[in-house]
Amino acid sequence: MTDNEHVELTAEEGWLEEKVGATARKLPLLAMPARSELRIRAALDRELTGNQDFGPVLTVEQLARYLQVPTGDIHEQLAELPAFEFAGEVRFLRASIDEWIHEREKRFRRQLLETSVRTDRILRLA
Amino acid sequence: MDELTDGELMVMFKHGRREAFAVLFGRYRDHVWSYLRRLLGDAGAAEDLTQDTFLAVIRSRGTYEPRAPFAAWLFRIATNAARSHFRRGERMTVHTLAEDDPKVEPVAALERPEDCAYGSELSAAFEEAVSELPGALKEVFLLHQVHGLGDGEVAHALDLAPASVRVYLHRARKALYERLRPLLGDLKESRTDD
Repeated sequence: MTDNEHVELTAEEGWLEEKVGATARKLPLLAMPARSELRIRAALDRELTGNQDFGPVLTVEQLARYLQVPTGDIHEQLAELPAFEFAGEVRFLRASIDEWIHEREKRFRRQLLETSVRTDRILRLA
Repeated sequence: MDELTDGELMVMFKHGRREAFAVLFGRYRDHVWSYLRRLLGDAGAAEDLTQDTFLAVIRSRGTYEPRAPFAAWLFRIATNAARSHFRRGERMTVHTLAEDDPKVEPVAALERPEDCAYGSELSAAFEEAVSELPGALKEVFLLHQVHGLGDGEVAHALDLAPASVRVYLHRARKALYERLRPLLGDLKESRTDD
């Protein structure tokens, strides 16, 4: 069957679709776990608050304030950050920084989960 | 503010009213979560991508144009996030909901007692069958049948022609029926006996 093919239903197929559709409509929405919702709300709040304090392009000093770390840390870890140079000045696109932060969040969460799994295994062995 | 349409809320949010976004988040939080949870079969990934989806809404509010319904636009973002996730190869293993996370709770329980009589067995089998649908069929089926999007909205969300939506929906229902024939057949007989 191609995507453009007209779908004609036999009486039996119509009945089948009606039954499957009726069952599907009873499939409930799943409630987001409270811990997930808290984490997501915190990330959304950070994004909304950041939008008020900073423009789309950040200086080194602004990024340090944004990440709440010393300016020296930004210079030290410049190679790891999504930065660009213009007229001899280093700048950061805030959207790229936000993306970088979210990727690090995911990596950190995975590390925590792995650590937790390893700890569980050690405790079971002990 | 609850009585405002999604489009009206987005326009307010575009003009700086953060409380409008809070209403939209409350309205669609469980929809996006459920969709991604069933699409990905992984609670951790569903959480990450639900967050990414709403972050994208915040970042794109300046360019939002209410040409398509908000729900279609939102699910388009969520679907693209899920497809990128699969492309990155971050998919772990396909689990059914029951074995992956027993703590998952439905927002609304089945309403009628007669539904509950066959509901638990059928629901579990149905969840498992849906989880095993091929990606495109699962996307269409979930958006249309579970989240209530119309053909045009599903077409916009998935970047498909409306005619293709009908074809995919038909294929999905057929595949599900083939899988659940004994249970759905029993359902027909029990209703006839009543």
